[in-house]
Amino acid sequence: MPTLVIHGDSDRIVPLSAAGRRTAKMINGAQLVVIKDGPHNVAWTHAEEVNQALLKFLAKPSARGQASATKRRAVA
Amino acid sequence: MSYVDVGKENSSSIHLYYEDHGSGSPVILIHGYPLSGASWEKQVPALLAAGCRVIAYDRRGFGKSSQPATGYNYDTFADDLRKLVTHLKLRDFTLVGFSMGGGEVARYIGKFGSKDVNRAVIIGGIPPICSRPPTIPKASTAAYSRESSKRSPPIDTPSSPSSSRTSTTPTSTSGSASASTQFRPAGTLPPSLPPRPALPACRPGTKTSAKTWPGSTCQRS
Repeated sequence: MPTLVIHGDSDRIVPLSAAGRRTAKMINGAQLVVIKDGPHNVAWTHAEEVNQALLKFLAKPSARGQASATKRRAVA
Repeated sequence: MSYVDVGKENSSSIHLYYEDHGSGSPVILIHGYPLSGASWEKQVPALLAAGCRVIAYDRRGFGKSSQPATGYNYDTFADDLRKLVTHLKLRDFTLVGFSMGGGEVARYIGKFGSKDVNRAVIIGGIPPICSRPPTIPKASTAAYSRESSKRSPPIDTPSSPSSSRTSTTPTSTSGSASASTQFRPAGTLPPSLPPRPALPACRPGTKTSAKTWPGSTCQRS
């Protein structure tokens, strides 16, 4: 499944090396976006960068999404 | 004000508050500790502008959701999310979890599979730190048994009549969770569930081998 991992490199609550980097390694094909100088809640402090990464990821067609869209069109 | 019922606690229903905006491909936002769905206020407008349907909910015990005494474990959190997804009849959705919410993303997919999940996003997430260890060493079980036998009898044992109290939690009503995953008051762990071993220390710059937790949620997903 397409997976995006976003993590701040200055996260002192859940450190990047202990969590985000390991998560991205453990999930096949996961994409890791490291936010420079990002603390824990990067979605708040670095909202623009996070939103950009999020929307870029959501814009990519997922194989599953395409398959079900095709299936729905076929049924219709 | 929209709520979904996810279970019962004695005479009250356990309900989760959620907001459901826009139309298009559904994106479910799962907040971190100790926030609520409102913490996504900088993401919701961007996602709506991009044509997504955005669902943000408050986890049990948080925000405007009920605060039951039980169910504060990831199996129940995943069950709660499942009930929200079922209630809204969502398919092909994206799960986005921040911090503690990243745990729900991992456990949901680990528990219910990825059939309906299109994509997953984990922001500053706790996985794989809080993954479930696959096996408990026998020595640890024996030590626990010895310790627990020294304690006074638990308030709520599986055989006591009052154990029906735990059956009102969503975890058990869903019928998909084993007894070992049910929440119990402190000091009343069933003998089958010894304390989990200490987690490796997390310090910035510390590299922890993924082999430490070979059966982690993330690997299963």
